[in-house]
Amino acid sequence: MRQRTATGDFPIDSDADQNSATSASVTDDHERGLWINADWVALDDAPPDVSLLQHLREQERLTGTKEGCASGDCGACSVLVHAADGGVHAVNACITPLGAVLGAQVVTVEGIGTPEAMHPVQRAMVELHGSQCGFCTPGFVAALAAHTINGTAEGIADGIAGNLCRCTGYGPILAAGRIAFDVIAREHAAVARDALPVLGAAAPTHLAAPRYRRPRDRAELHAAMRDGWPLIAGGTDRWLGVSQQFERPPGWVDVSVVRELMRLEYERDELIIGSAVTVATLEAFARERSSLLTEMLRRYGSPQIRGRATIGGNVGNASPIADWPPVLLALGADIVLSDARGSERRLPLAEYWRGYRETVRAADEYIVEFRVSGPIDWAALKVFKVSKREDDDISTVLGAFYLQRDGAIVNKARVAFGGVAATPVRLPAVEAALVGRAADDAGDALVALDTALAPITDVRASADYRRAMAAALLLRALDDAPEPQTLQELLD
Amino acid sequence: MSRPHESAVGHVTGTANYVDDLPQPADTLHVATGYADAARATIAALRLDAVRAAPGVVDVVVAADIPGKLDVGPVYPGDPLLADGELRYAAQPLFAVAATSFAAAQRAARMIDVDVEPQPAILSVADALAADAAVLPSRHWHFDAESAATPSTPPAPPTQEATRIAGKRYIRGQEHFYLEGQVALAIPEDGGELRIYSSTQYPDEVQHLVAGVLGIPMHRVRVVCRRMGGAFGGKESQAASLACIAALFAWRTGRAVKYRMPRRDDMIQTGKRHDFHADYELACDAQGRLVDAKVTLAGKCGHSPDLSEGIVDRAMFHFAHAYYVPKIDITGHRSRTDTVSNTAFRGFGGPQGMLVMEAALDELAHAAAIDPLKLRRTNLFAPGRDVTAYGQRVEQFVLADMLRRLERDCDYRQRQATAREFNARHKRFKKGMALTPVQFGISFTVAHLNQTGALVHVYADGSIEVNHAGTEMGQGLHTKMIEVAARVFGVARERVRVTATQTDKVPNGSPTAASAGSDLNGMAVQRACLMIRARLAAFAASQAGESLGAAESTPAREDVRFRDGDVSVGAWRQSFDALVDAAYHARVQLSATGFYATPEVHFDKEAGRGKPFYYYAHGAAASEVVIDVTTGEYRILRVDILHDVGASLQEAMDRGQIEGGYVQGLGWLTTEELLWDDAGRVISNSPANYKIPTAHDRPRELNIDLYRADNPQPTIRRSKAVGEPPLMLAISTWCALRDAASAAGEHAVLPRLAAPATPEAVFWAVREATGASQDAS
Repeated sequence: MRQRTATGDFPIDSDADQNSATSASVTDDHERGLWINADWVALDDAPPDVSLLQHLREQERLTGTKEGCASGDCGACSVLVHAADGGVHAVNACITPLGAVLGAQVVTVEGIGTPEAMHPVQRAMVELHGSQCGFCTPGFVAALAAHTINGTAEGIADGIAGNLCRCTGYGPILAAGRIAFDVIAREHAAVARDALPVLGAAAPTHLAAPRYRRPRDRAELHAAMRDGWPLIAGGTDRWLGVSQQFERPPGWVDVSVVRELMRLEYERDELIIGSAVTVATLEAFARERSSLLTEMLRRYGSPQIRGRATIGGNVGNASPIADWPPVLLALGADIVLSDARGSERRLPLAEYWRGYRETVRAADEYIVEFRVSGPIDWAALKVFKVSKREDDDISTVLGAFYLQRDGAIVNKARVAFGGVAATPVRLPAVEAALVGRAADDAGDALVALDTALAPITDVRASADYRRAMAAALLLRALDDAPEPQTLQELLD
Repeated sequence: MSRPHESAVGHVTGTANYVDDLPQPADTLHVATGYADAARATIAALRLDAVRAAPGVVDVVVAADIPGKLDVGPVYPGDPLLADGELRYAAQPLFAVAATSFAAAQRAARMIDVDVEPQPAILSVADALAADAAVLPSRHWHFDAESAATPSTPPAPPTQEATRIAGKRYIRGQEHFYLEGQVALAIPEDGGELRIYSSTQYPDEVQHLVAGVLGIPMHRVRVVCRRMGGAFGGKESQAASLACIAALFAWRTGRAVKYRMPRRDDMIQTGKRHDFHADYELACDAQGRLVDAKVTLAGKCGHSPDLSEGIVDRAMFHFAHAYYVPKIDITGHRSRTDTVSNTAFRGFGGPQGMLVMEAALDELAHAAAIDPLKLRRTNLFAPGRDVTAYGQRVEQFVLADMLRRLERDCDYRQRQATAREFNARHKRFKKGMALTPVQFGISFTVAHLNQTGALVHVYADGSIEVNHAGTEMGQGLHTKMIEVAARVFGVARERVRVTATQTDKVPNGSPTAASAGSDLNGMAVQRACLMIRARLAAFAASQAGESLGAAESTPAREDVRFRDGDVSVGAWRQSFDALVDAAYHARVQLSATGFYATPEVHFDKEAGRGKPFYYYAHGAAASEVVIDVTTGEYRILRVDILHDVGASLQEAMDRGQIEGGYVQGLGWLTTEELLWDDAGRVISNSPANYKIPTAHDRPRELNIDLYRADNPQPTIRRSKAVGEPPLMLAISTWCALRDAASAAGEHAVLPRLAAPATPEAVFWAVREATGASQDAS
């Protein structure tokens, strides 16, 4: 047993650390390492090809956490991370760089509860037959333990949307989640965190390692970029290069805690969304503004992914089927890029993509933020996602629309899609065919739409279906009838 | 009385070990295989210098390095462990590399340098049928009630055909997606022996094949399987090649060797559920009685036979499903394609055969304007209409009652009327409903596999260890075996432990497959327990006689009772533990083996005649769905299931199998789309693009009830097999989606609907139902 912490004293004073983060190199005053369950584990470095999962299983011999896919799709590797913000979230350890959790506390299934002292989630899973083969089970336990802290008893299916089970059909797991809520409420006076026996009381802070740089402001970032190491944010896409392709870069520059990139605020009349803002943060932001955007984000990845994935990463990987680009295009956002000296340029987001997985971003540039000018009429934003599976699936087609009208007449239109061309697209010709006409007079817009699209047939759908979906989603967006527009609305 | 799974606490606390979790020797090597991208090709040159020179590499093997047999085909030859001069499918292993870490092996395997000469490849069932390409000969079974009539079944009066339909259907396969990928760990032991930890449904075959590959007798190979992280048929034959390669490296290097497949390799290098193409005709008379049926079923077997003989047979057995058809022609082709060899998957061909019939019945009902449920009910096997297409007489007729009960208990007709009103009110959304039965034959259709053994020890302290040849993959087999043993000895379940399945404890076992795990092993375990109990009863009787003294006669051993941890006869009583201790000191043997072979089953494959199944398991499901006609998106609103497990051995395990089987079937028929590209590569090669159901895909309301009726056959405590049959309950949901698409065109057309019914497939079905052409938008 390593050093134990009964009181939860973490070795770093977070406030002091935040304020002293101005030097060009990452501070190195403290012992490096992370908390794993109740133990402080000292580490000299975080090798750039070692994930949190590998470290847990191979170095710590904590084999309760499983590898099911090594791509963040199955959730068998879910563990809890008690991070700098004090929150406790489930992450996929298979695509979380070890370096990204230095200084944080990681709680594995072994720390959530033991056979002698089980967590309420574990007890409920046993009593309600929530495990069959058992391989996915530790991941479900972690996801449910996180959900009892962050979620609601009604939203359990959302809490486990990133966890695949091939045996049970999910019913017993959902039931176990509901029971666990009751038990926790009864036994822990509604403080679900207290059900985690190993959780430290103080918030930890961020640390870095020689081969895993975690700059905390842009000055540090620019210094950290000196060796041309690849940039990484949440890693939910980028780390697949390591976990699937066995890439071994010399080191990483992690941009996820660069203070200036984490802004989500209004500056004068502009909404600024920093590139390191996580999808989970935006989900909370959207909840007060747009039910359709919220609904899309509920289906975006999984809780494990949303907690780590950033909007900058989603745009930066240049995927034609990413879900944020069409939304940002429909909002008329600009993108701000910076080079390693801090020299910035701002351009309309539509000009960012040049071709399939190709953008105007230079090798030494990074995305600073997205800026949306002028007041946003959130009711004008409509976002619809079509995918093969409801949850945690990459979109077949995603349509995002910003439509304002004066009576029946459309007087402002921005139309954007993902999944219908080699890049995310905004379609001015369709917008032009809409403006100045009644919303139900969309014939010309549909013709313009069909001309503008260049979808492909792939594993997700046929080109014909994608074409048909683009039209169907545009018509859905134009339909202002009070009847339900989506299955979700029908059934809610 | 339903206890948790025997490993439940281990599962939820992460203390239940899987092969990759076992402590491994310090110098353990890790394996990866290298492959080329071509589907069918000759290998012109294979240069492995870079692989050998890669960091951490300790050994590299190609086909020529195998000391014993290269072929690891489970039934028929055709599966070389490593490619031998020619490539048979894209991603076929060409060589294997052992290195000091998992990543080092993976990186080294990518340094392959190979020249291939591509050959024309057959990549689809249609191409295989055109080219007459098959892995095994086709079979043709013909049944005619008139000529098959016996005194007990007089020929049915001739019927007049009134309605006939014909069609073609393509059913896609399915990736197992067990959460634990394929894995084996080989450890060299004393005297040239090997211990293999394998995630396998069939330890004995792993033992047999490892011995064959190394050219050593089976008694030098010991295979251990404590549990699998899911299998579903995917670890019946597919687990062996990993164990063989790990064993080969262990043999060569003297080091422990682990071969764990990364998910992507697992998805492209191991077999899946067969795609099937079907060509069918079906006719009924004016009363809706089936007159005749004709079907050609072609399974996409891949490059080798593997288990495809039995799989296509089972599709043929289950085509007529639960229905009496007086005249029937069934042809089964085992199509050879230059793709990975397809394999066992829960249902083993049965689901595909059944889906063809259920879809055809809906077409016939639509054409004849008969209610689909009425048509199904009219044609169920019944006394006098009880002979299957393969000559087996059906002896239990519970489906009529099950359909009636389910229809009543889930308010099927009332909800159908409500759905019709809903459809009249809504333009964008349409509801659909269907109620379909399941009748699934239980037994291995290869007769010799219907055997197993058990070894039971009662230790001197009264604790009991049970070993049997069945494997635990989550289905709760060990939990059921604990029930069986605890019941025989009348002790608490905590006193019984089931160990890892080990080939040196129970030899020559069969795969845990064909839903037969508890049927077979339950009987073997029970027999072994009964043997020990008989010895203990005799001992107890003599003890009781002694304590009663000469005045009384010694009680009969048959009167000895084992109950609640006590053993008693008359007024004499002792705790089980005390009796065992005394018996041990009195030198009573406290260990026994049990053996069981299923009686009655036999089958002539060529003639298509016999009794392949010991009995049938039944089920019925009613589904209600709603679709968005503008996109094809859907939600499963409600599913009601009534399932026949005989007298349940363990209700929680049985319910778990029913729900899990249904949802797995739902995945097969909805979101799981197994796709290849034009070069023969699997493109649904990751969970990012192959979508098994999540919690939200489960029906919003799912009600499961057990149909309580003893198995008429003397199975273990009159229970029934439950592993596979529930998967086919999902056919009702597919039929309901089709009904909803049809509703979009006011039921003028019953559209084709692809299987799986992805949102895209439902969208095209709606287009067909509403008469719009596909390219209009």
